[in-house]
Amino acid sequence: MYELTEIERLAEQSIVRCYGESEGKALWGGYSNARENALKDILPFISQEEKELTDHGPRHIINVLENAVKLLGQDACIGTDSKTALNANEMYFLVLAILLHDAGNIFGRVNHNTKLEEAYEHCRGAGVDLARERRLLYPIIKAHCGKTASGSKDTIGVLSKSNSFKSHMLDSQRVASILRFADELAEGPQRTSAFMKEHFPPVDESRPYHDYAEVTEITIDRNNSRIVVTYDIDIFFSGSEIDEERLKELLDLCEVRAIKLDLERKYARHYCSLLRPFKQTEISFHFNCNGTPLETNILRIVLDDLVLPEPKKEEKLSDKNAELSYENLISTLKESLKQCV
Amino acid sequence: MTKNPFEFEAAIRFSATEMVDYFVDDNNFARFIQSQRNVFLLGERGTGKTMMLRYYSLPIQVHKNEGDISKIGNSLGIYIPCRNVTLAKSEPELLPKWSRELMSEHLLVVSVVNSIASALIEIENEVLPEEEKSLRKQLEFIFQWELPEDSTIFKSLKSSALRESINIQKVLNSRKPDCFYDNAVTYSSVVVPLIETLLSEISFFRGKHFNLLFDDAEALSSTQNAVLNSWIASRTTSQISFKVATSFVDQQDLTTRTGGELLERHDFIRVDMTQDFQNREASYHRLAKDIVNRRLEKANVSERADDFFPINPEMEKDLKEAEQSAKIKAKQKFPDGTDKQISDYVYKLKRAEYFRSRSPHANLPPYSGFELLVNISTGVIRYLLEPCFEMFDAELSKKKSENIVIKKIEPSTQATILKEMSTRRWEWVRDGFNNSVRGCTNEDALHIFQILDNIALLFKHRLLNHASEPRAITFTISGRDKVEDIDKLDGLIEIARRAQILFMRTSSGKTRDKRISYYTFDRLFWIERGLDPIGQNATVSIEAKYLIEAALHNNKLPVSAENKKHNSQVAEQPDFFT
Repeated sequence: MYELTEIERLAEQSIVRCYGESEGKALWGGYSNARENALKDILPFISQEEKELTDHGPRHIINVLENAVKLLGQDACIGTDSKTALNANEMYFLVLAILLHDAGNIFGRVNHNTKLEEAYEHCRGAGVDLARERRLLYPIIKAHCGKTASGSKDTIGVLSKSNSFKSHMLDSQRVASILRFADELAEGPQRTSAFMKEHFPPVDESRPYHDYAEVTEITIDRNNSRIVVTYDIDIFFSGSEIDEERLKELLDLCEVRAIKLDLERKYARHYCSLLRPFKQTEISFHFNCNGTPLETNILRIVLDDLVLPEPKKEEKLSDKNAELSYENLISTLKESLKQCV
Repeated sequence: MTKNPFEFEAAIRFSATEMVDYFVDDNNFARFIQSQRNVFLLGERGTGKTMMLRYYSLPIQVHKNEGDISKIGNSLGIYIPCRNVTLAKSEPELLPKWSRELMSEHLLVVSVVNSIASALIEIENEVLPEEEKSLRKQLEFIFQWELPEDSTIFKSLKSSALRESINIQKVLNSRKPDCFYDNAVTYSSVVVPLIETLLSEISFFRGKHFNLLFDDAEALSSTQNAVLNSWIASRTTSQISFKVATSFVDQQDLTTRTGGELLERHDFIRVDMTQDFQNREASYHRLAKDIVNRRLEKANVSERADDFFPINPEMEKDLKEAEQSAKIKAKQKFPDGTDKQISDYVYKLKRAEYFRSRSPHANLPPYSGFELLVNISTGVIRYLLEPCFEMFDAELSKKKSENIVIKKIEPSTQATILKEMSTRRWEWVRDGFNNSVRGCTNEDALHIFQILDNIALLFKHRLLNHASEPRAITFTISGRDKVEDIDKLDGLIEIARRAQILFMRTSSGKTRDKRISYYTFDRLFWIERGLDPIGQNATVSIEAKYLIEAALHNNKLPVSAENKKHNSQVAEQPDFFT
């Protein structure tokens, strides 16, 4: 139904190379069964339970898997030096964690990262022989969002760096970092449906999130050391004039999410050295009205890790680029619209 | 002596006065050039890229404003031709990777500094004496170059850049496999500090923006291209932007030095300068008219384009009769038809009626009229000016006087020149193509000629017989996945495009699920074959296998080669070059 992604193929190779033909194939076989069960029985039905959510089904999982290999680069998936590559265990837990990280949504969005047990047992089994795997997997999945038991947001920090699984090492922190960051980057029009939005519009609280998904394009550009976020916004929202309220709502969300994404980048880099190449997040805004581009001259914004020796202050994107303050932006858009029409 | 107003020389050779006289501001593109964003300008040769970049460069803007510096605005255009002797050195490409990148960047930086200095010479009087002294010291510190004391600061900088070019040539001449130049400079070590220093230390430059205008970027080596892309990717300052003009066919990739790629819309915006010319009301027709009118005005000719290039009266009369004939046929075909049905039929068939009503033994139609000239240009300004130039010269030579005002180009002159030019074009494809087109063998030239020839025959057949779209002269290629040697066809298409006898544009199909490529040959070809170069809003779908057979074996394209089931994927004729 869904072909194996590149990272899954590399994971299989890595596992067989590490564990040998017999044991490796057996372990991989367990993953394959879990995959089939998840993609068939659980993931497609999340939308039935949580109608207002953007997509958390199979397409989203595939997207996260694809993001993971773009983040790591192929060499980091097949190497043997732990400083520069994930080992077989880490590859195994990474793909398994990605596969099941949102399965808990079938029971509702709230605390979905913790409602994993039933889904895991259905996909993978409930045998005692899987206890070790569960004990290692659940915390990795839990860490992809939410808080720790003590209320801290540093969910990755509580994981162990040096676990043992089948007599080989497993660094849970770096697996969780990659899962979390790859998930954060799995945003875009693929998570929503223009048809559904038009004919079965989401409730008001969810609408900005669907709008956000539709306008966002994220590029993982490892070679240029950056994550690129491009927002392509139709200011008419398929209507016949500027919908200022909806536009402001969306811009506010873009602001919040872009900064969050950059924070996730820094967070992930802290716990996973393989993600160090991503030194900055670049954000650009593009506006159009019913498909016709509007010329606004707004330059891209770069959020990087440069820290100056001065007191930290709260930063908004519009601090980096005054053109993006709502007052300046709306007058620029209206001016551009006149020229366009 | 009467000067020909339709000079079509490469814009790089125009004087500042000619640039200001001849340039017509096309608001479609000017705003991109003047913006602070990075822009890639793509277009075939002759579409006006160099004209656009040079016009907005600082020296031309100063000349345009008659030396009044206060009117030049905040954007300082620095014209940087990539087709120059400094950058054309191929020696760095022979070096190991690291040396190669270093040397290539040094050469590119030296060219940029030379261009900046050349441009700023125009406004060196705006630098106060005390500022110049301080600037000289700072630039010597930044560059670690000795700036000659006996010239003004920017002239000194220009001389130093030239000297650097000579120095690195000496190193390259040493032919050491790992030769290295200690004084190599980079964009971040020199260009950025230079601009930042100017902006901060010289009062005139405060608030200004440096617009680096790279022309003919396809001429850069692959290493230089990667270096330039890296500069574009790394730019975060609002003080500098890049405008890069390159040809469609030979455009280089977007890879940076680190192996990443520039992202369209994020790192740059792409502007396609090839114009929609299918629609009479479209901006290209207006631009063409404005350009010709401007040229006439500068030549003190009071007539405007339509009157200067009048249509042959006989042809005009015959076209009107053909329209009447088409109307009669429409009413016969649709006895109860709506007005729209009738008018659509007439619109599609009226010109075809003209061609069909001509005797098979008649001479070629008396091609003439400004609208025809605009259509023949196929969206390339140079292809509009070139026949105008030849027609003007021909008209002048008929008058047998050196100083005379030409008020119009006689329709007979127009027709004669167009036929001659069309014949020469065919002869060139048939006999001289492979000598002048890079990468084209004798065999390729023959194959391309055979495709062109057979397509001309197909279009002729359609013009005389097709019921609804007789004047379609744009085609798509279907069934590409069904032929094994599609690479051969693609290779021929690329050569034809590089030679600018074939133009391509992509657009969404009716089903909007994929992009479709539309092709049109240089419409000048159709003159010799008695076709209608004005064309109509329709496309012929031709199967790839038939095109390959036509190319390799000179097989005629079957009339049923148009794969009718593919027509559903074809857009309503797109704005061809938008």
